[in-house]
Amino acid sequence: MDVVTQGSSAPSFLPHGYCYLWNPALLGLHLASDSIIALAYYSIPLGLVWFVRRRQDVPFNWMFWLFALFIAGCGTTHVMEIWTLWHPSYWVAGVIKAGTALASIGTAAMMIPLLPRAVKLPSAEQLEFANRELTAVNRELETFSYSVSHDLRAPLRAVDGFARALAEDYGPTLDAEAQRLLGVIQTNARRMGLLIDDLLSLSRLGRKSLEAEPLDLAGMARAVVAELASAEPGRKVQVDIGPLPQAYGDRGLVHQVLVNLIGNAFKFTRGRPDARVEIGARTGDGETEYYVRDNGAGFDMQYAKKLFGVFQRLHRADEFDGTGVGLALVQRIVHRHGGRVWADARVNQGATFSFTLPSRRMSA
Amino acid sequence: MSLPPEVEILLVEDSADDVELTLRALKARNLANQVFVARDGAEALEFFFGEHAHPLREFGVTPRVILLDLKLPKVDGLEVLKRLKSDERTRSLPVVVLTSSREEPDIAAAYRLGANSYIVKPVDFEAFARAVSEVGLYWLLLNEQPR
Repeated sequence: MDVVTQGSSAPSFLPHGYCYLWNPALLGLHLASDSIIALAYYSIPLGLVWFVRRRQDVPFNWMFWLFALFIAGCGTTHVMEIWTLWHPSYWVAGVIKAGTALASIGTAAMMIPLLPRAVKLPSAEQLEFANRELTAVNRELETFSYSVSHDLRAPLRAVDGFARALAEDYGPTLDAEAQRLLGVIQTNARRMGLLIDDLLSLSRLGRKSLEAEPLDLAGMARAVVAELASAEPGRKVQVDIGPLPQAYGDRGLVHQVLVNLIGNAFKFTRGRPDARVEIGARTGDGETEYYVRDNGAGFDMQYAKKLFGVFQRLHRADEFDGTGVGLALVQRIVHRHGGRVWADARVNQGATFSFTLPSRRMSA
Repeated sequence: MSLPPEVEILLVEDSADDVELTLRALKARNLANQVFVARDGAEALEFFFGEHAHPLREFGVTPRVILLDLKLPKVDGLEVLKRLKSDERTRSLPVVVLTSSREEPDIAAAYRLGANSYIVKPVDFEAFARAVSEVGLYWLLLNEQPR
């Protein structure tokens, strides 16, 4: 490139257009080409950024940001090509080019080790296949629960029914011990019936679609308490229901959560003269935690992990009745709403069960 | 209570145990005097639509209520229900679906096909007996049918 002396003795750069001898056609060709390249290089990162912000679940999300940066840098070097046609800011152009070089080499260095992992990502067909398999398994489970419902209940009905027939027809000739044994048979037949029913309601839950609506939890809790209180008219339980912020969820299912948690609070305070149940809410970190607290039997926190498992019980059947399905049901319902459920307790000092529910309509 | 002499129930049930228990429950309410039992869906359909002469049909016997189990060998209960409700001669017969199944699609399907009631047999025999005999009493004594 030519260097000319202008007035002073300090040499200065000439604009790039000078090299093109200010030929209008050549200038126009460079101007148009660099403009189009720059436009394309800026629209690609805009598109990428829009995409990763909408699809936060895309794997290697940050890689898209790096690509966007690198391509935007390339776009800027072409903008500088246009600028330097008339303005000889070659140092600025050089620095911008150096920045783009760093972004490019950085992107390349980050991308290459990523490739083996990206190759392992499941393809749409693989996911489709997995999905079909899951659907088949789900259908099998439905068939299973149908047979449980149908085929296991029938023999149980016979066990209970014929034990009763025996008691009715031959009761007078049976001694006390024989009658007690008959009673044991019937009690267990009925208990198994309850277990099957509970298990089925748990499995039905997986198939039921969620119908979310705004819920007045305090009103629902009051109805549950009234129902529980009327079932045990002899008991005195002090119940406090605090103001509960509105939640969003399936009315029937959230009702089941309340029935189980408040029902448990009533159950495990049985035998306490000063039984107290508190239903309240805490708001923090943008979500609301609802809780049901009692001053009943509580449990040892070292068994807390087992609490929400199906058929897991932390108390003997002769202490507190139950099938061990209630809390599993609670957890499943809360999880299906995208919430969390956990417990805090101490032996003989009561338990607190907390859960979160969405406060707004879920987007999915 | 004196019962009309023509009390008739068709019980469609494959399990011998359930038949016996159902009869016991009906007997306890004096409703078991004329119960006919079909042991599968085909036998039930034979009763109404069979090509061979059926001894009961010969005598002009028509059940006044049908207690129908859903899960039956050969022809299942929903199929029997569909045939009964789509035939002019049997459409007005009350059909009480009586089954172990608590599965919702069954309940919905049974009502869609025109079942008059749906009773889930409880495991508890006492509850079972009560359910069976209440159904019997309602459909035999209280419900007015077109003649």
